[in-house]
Amino acid sequence: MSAGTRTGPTAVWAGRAAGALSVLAMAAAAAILALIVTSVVLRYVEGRPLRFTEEAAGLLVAAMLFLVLPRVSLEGRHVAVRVVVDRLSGRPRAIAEAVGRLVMVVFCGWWAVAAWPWFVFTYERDLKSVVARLPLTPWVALVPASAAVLAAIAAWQLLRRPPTPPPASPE
Amino acid sequence: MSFWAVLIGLLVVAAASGAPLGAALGLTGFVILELFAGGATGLALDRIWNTLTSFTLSAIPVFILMGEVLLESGVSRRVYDAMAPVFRRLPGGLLHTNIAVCTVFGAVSGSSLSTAAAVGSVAYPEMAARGYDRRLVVGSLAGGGTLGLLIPPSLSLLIFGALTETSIGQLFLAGLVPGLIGAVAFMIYLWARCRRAPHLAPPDTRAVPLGRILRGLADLWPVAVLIGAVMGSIVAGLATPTEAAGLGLAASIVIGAVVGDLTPRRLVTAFLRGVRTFGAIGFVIVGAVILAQSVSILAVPQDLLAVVRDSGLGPVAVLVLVVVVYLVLGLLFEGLSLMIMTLPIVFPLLTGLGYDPVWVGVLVTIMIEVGMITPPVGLNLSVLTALTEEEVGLGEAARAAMPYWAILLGLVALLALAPGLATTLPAWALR
Repeated sequence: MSAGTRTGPTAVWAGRAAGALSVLAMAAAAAILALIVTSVVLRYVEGRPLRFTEEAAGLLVAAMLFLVLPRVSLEGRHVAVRVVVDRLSGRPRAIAEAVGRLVMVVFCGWWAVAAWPWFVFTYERDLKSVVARLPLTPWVALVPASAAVLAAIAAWQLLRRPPTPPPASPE
Repeated sequence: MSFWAVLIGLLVVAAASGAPLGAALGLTGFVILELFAGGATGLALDRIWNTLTSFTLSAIPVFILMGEVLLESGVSRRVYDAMAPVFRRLPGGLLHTNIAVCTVFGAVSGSSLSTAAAVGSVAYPEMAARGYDRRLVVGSLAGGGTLGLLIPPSLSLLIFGALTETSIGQLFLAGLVPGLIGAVAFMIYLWARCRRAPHLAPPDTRAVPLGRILRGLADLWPVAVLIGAVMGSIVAGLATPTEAAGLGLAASIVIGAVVGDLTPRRLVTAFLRGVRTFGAIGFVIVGAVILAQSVSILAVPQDLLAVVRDSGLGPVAVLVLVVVVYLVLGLLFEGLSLMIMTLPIVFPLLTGLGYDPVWVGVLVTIMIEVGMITPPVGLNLSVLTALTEEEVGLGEAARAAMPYWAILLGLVALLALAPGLATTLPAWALR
């Protein structure tokens, strides 16, 4: 994993947006915890667990992942094989890193495009979860949305100019 | 273009470019589905959704959060202080404490990296100040840290169970005996090494009354409660692994707040780090699921199995081959990612040859542990090198971890010779 570099107003704005999404991801994590503990307590105390715990926890885990991924991407915390790239320098390194970002753009773009009809199908039929009858549309919408954001972040990282060093301060 | 050329060529180029591993795996899977399976990417999307929303997978982020909460609450310091006097008279002194604390902390954190980082941050400064050989200290922490992946509850066994639909309770039980054998083997090595070269570990001549040692150990009750709550509830069938993880997380928050240093701010930090870590792992899972779907649609594992059967290679030869492949890949890939990406082929191959799925889980986990201390990617080594502020370089740390590397491979051989070491306990629990 490597730390990404963030500079400029776009980066600040993107960082804030990703931060807000990761707060939602943390809220999803807290909801999973509350759901599981409540269900276990109700099962042993009241003798009737929440029917929808498994379903809701699964949806929350998926939401948590898709909500936190932009931050992971922006901060460069993805698991990556850096053995080759870290041994390169200058132009070869820049080319290798560009290829890496291109791989991310193509994959996430493809994923977003492939997931879109799947989301539309869910929306048009107003599909619901099996047990709790929760509407699936908002949950499923996170898949193409997150993939598109990841593709956009990777494209921005690919296309932006390398950060310029700050000018020397006048003495 | 042949399937294998696309699989290997694209994967190598994409991964070597430093792209996120999940993207490299996923793109390879998408291309294979497009070229060889009539563009069946929709199947991969369904599979991703079903995997991510499965209740079993829910245990993974919850266990990660539990490890982070324990790390933030300073429980590792408490465990270390309690166990430090126990081994002080043995040749090796606090080096044994490192292994013992890694064993105990591994039993609550579930992660090799968290274990090495948590124990290392407490142990290294103190041991360096006491004149212990720094390389030996780092080696013991790197080796001991790997126990976090094997001693239940283990993140590796959890992911293995979720992806292969193997009983997680049985996997946890199966990892216990090999994990303890590994811990004892590490301690025997340290004892022998320090007996021959006492200057590596200055003896502690201060007298510590037995009562104080026992009182210190009694201070470990919160950890014992946590281990009991998590493992006990799974083994006794009172809770699913996800429920056990949830209860463990709740208990670790209470324990961290009551007897540790957990504050609301630290809890938020733990949650943020936890969801971020899950994000990094989850993205690899997404990519691996796409690749797994592509190879399974094309019946690649079955074809591979048929080739192996026709080649006349016996199960043992295939096992040796798999171990060698893991050793080579361990040079390049991070442990859990390596497991996630290789399981679609390795699991059906080995179980198809008659190996017990639970045993395969333990074997793969040990091979991943080996990868955690194999440079240049071995994460335990990188973390510890950073913890020492480069006082011990990556090369020195790798050399210091070599004996543990060899012991873990010995453990693989032992498991191959005596599979019951892993399979007896889960079989007994099932009765």
